[in-house]
Amino acid sequence: MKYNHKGHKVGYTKGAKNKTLCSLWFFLVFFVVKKAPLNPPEGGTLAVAVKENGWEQCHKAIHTKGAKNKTLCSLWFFLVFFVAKTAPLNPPEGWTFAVVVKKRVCAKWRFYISLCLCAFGANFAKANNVQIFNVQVLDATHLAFDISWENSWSLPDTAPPGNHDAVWVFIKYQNNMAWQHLDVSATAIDYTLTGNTLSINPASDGKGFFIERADTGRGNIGPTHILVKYADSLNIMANSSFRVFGIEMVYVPQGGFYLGDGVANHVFSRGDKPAPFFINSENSIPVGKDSLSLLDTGMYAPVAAIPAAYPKGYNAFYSMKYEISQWQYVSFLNCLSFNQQETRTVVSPASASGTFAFSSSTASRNGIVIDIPGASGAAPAVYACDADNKTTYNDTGAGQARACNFLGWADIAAYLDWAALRPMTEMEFEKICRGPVYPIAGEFAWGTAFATDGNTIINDGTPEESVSEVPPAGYGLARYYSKTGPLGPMRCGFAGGTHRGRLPLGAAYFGVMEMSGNLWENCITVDTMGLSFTGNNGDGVLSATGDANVLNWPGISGIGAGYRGGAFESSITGTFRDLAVSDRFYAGLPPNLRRNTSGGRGVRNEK
Amino acid sequence: MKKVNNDTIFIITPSLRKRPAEHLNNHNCWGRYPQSPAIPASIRGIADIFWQTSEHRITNVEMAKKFRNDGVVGAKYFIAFLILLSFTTKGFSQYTGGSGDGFAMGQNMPVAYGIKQVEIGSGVRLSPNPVIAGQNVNLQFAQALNANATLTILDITGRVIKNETITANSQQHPINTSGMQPGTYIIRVVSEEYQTERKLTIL
Repeated sequence: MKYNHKGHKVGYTKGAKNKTLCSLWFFLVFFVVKKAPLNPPEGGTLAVAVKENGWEQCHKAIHTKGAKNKTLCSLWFFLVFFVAKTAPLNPPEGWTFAVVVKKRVCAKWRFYISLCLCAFGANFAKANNVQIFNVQVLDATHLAFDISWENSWSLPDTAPPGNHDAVWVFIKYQNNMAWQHLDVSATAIDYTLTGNTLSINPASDGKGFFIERADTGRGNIGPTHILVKYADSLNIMANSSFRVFGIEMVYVPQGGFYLGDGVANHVFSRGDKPAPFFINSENSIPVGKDSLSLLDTGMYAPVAAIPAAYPKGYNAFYSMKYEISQWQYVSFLNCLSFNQQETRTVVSPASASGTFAFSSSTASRNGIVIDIPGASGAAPAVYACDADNKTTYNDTGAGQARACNFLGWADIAAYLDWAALRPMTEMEFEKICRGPVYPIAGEFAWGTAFATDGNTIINDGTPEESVSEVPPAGYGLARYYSKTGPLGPMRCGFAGGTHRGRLPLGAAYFGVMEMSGNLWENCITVDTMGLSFTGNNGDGVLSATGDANVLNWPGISGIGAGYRGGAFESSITGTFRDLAVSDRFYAGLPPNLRRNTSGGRGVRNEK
Repeated sequence: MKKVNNDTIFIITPSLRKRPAEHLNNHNCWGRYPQSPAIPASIRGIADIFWQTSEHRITNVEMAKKFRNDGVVGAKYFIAFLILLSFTTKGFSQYTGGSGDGFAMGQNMPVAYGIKQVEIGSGVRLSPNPVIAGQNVNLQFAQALNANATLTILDITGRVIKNETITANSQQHPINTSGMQPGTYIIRVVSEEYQTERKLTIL
């Protein structure tokens, strides 16, 4: 601590990960805690606590000598201390909080030591909650819409993880009953936004655009009006239907990172010894038994050099923040033809209203149903969500926000092609999870090797679906198999409704959620077929039968892809660590089956 | 200042607030706490706090200077706080979840006719399509219309070519293409209950 000439404590705490921020935290909270009910009792209480590596290593000291009421002061300190351990007061790692000392005979604060409320980081808004509304077709070349979302961020490079979020926007329009992808301008000046908080980053192929913060900052994005110019004039009726889709994304910046953790079985490894392999470019990677090669033996090990064109995760890219949700997949199905729907679901689109499209029941927590039956050769079906199995569809508890299971490789690929995204590779999977940090043996997406299963559901089926478990210090929250709990996926971002911080959310390094557990991620593997993958983005157009048709993507058989990250049925015992970042036990198993544990997400190249 | 295990601990007292320099001379201040608590082992190496006793070699002047300097530092911290208030810190917005699923879809409202409309997706066919210029095209409905409907034929630019009435209870309606040039047209049917459009190609 440091003190000014007035004896006011103004300083930092040794051992804090960011001393300046700790001090600034003090100041802010000082002004906050002067108000009841945080106003402490009179007395010379001084207490300091430092949270390092979780509360279990919290160091605290209290001295109440001189206090008017020693017992009250002590009790107040410990009460606040325990309250502060819970969100949203739980300060970040390495941060210090200290009890304000209040002068014995005067109600005014004497010191700038105060109970810190995580003021900087406490973004108490509960929803990322991207919303798109007020879509208006203006003329043959323009449309406009409003967008808003919460918990947006953009960090400077010097503030880890040094990245930002974004929303990937793409548009479909209906032309003579068939939905088509709208190509948009690839020039930023063709777009207009209100205010100066956001900027448009159009894709060079014209398949969509990213909306992101124009500068560093954080917080909610209020309704912002966006004017979009098409790539070409459209000769369709002005009253045709247009659908604007937005997917929350996370920017993964360019940079080196490690593959494998050097200890567990079935991992990437250096060729000469069990050690993480460092990726420092997109250049070709040899395989073999030397220090500059990836180990070429072991389950699903690469047997040929990784080509330069194979995305290794070094270059920047955008990742979907969450797995594909059930409402997201329903929205996709409702833009397909009858024949395409027939390929992308289990039951015929002509089945009766209320028929579950993937599962015969809601036992695996998939509630996608047929709302309006289609007719072959005439009209497609209309799908909806009904996880609560009621006569009304798409109601609050219908499970729209749950991650979508029963998706095989062909389904994932079709969705990603339709959305102008692409699959991620195994290497990109590890980059997203671990960032540039040196691996910890057996670690999960949140950077520790300890997990808490979140299986006590609250607000089941709603957009606020979450769990009541709070992981202890050093443990991350995930949905996996611990002998109890629901046998199906949770809501995308389920931990975020009641928790804050990387570990309580089970978040990956860059802020992507549920990379460990919930549903398996479909990733391009490094076997012979997978190495043909060159990272082409989807173009928004499927085959007539509803399959992806992008050059160098694995075919509908799924050969060249595999599973990473574990799912709600994956256990963590002994050598079974499917949730581990490095684990590749199923990395080369073609994910062609529609498993109740299989889902996924996509990424997109930066340009 | 007393060094205890290389840490120094400072206990704030009211008198220090008023006369810090004098207090530094007033070792009795510390004498007021002859039974000061032992330094918790857990706090060593974690926090720098200063404890003054008569054993410390720093003079009063030096301490006052130190405090004054720290006052400047304190001011800098305050200013920095104001500046950095708008900046993000590590660890929070990107590790904050919330409700929803990270996906949104918005749809425009097609131009309405002042009535509630439902797209009839099934059972509406144009046959033959494409059709030879001058020949009739049959518009068929899977279900008979409950009320009169308006049939509008538009060219690809949206210009109305002709309007016709389809009577209630009709399940089909012939469209005469005489006088229509080869090309693509929009056949629009609107009633009190629904609206639908089909593309017609004339060869």
